[in-house]
Amino acid sequence: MPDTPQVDSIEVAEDMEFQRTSWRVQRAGWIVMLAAVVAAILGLFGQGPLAAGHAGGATAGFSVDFERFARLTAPQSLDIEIWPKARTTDSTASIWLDRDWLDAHEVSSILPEPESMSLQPDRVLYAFSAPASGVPLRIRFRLEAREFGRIEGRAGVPGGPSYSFKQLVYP
Amino acid sequence: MESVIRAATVYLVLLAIFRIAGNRSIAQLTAFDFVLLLIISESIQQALVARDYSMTNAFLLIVTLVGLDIMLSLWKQRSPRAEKILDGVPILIVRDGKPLEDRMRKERVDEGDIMHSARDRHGLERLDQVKHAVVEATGGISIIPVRSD
Repeated sequence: MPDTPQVDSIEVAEDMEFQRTSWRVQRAGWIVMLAAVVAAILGLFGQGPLAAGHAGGATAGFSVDFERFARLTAPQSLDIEIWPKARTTDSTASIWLDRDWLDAHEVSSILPEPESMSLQPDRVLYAFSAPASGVPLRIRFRLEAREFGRIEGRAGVPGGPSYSFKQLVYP
Repeated sequence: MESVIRAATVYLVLLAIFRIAGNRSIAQLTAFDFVLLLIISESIQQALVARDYSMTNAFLLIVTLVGLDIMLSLWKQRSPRAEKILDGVPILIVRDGKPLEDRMRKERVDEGDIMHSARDRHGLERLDQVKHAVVEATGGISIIPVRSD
């Protein structure tokens, strides 16, 4: 082997220049791995402070809590609160969700269960029986993403405000 | 198609992670390293198989993984540069009985590791019986003992 340098009496295919580069790359790689762990703790890959998304509130009568960063097939939740002023009738509260967004997910459960579900051209309308008291109705969708990439959803109350929310789903 | 992409991604990511971790991390398996390897294989298994437990999927995954391994070995055979990048290079850490401290530190090898190999393979008793020591590209330490003639 012509490119094997003689190091004293021992023949080793050393390449100190390459070795130094690979040490540098390794050190850089450790930093990248550490950064990935820190980012994961902060929620950049889902489930953490950075991942918590929120839209709306008591003044609008309706709010959405969603996950900004989610992962394919991993459980996630979408929490919706409807205040009494945004109700359709005294005993019913309705919300709609964007159909395309729902198609990108699999809904495993809705708590409380909706009284009715109806399809509209580009949305799905859910109606819930609402408590008589003045407290907001909390609805939790448990779901799993079935597509990855950037997914934009929209939720709203019929005749009231609606909010869009963007999610990044990791493969 | 998804199985092939999945297997190829897992192969390349694992290759990168283990190269970054350094060869020394896996060459001398302690009992705990062995457990760690089992946990790593367990964690990657779900991502690899996803929800498809069919035999077809399993065969596709295996064929992709083994196929990639063969392809890379052919590439390494043709290109010395590829071999260096994928496997690393050997490095001398004891030259003529003298430990090269700086290299040992960067390779995360200490005198204890050298003596471990020296005892294990050559039955040596002291460091001054070691003429040369090399951290091989595979991560193991080769010892050339001082000739006693």
